[in-house]
Amino acid sequence: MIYCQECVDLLADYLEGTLPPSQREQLEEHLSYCPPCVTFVRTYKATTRVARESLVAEIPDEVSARLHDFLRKSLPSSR
Amino acid sequence: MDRTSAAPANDSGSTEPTDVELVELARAGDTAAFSVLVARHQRQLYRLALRMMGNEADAEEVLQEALLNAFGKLGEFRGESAFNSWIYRIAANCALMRLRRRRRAPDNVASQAEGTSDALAGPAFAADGSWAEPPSSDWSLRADDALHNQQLGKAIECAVANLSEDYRVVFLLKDVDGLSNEQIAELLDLSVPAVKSRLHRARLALREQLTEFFGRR
Repeated sequence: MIYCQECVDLLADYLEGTLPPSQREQLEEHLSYCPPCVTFVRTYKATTRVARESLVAEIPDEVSARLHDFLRKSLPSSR
Repeated sequence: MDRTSAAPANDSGSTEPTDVELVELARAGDTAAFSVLVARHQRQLYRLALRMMGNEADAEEVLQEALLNAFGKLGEFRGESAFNSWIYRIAANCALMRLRRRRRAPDNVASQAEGTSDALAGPAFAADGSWAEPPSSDWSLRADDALHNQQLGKAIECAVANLSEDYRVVFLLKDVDGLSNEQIAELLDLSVPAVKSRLHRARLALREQLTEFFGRR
């Protein structure tokens, strides 16, 4: 049997699918009777979702243009 | 690395040259071939540099330096790893060297103040391992509905920016850019357990921030 703190400590590996089977079973059994931990898992997963949707970075066009300009000036001329 | 940005395989019927073919051309002095390589991989390289440096201006400088280095070292690329892994490593090294120089700067008060961030927020537990204060607000569904909300975007942006560099970089590379723990460990010269620990603590701290955000609404 595991307690709530251990459930949180194991969460990253659980969601990654890398927990040993016995620990995974214990964690899932804990989640079957602990609503606060279920809430915690849902919000832990949602944190990643929110970040992924909000923080994706693309290279700005002007940065790309400056980069290619920089390389054109810095690299030796093509043979 | 994101395999979808790797060079198309010739056996798929594509007429585009592979990364290896472009490297051979670039080695022989064909800088246009090198430009094609840059165009293929710049997006991922920029993201890596941005995550590590924390701002666009430094990321751009890292990118320029890394690509210049890469061109000079094309003779060393042996094809044992994928080209994108190889150039990713060069970019990470450039960023790490800049970060070390930045940390050593005597007037770098901000960096000195960051410390090791052992005081990251996270859940509290009683001595028996039960919740000191059980989480009661399941905002996960509200988060999915609110993803278009600018305030939520700003809240997570602010929360991530407030993480110390050690945790922020790992979190962004893993949870936003999709690198594996092993890739991050190699790029940042960390052990995999260290990557996992930093990632988990970053997530816990960010979750606390988002719980506060939704608690105010």
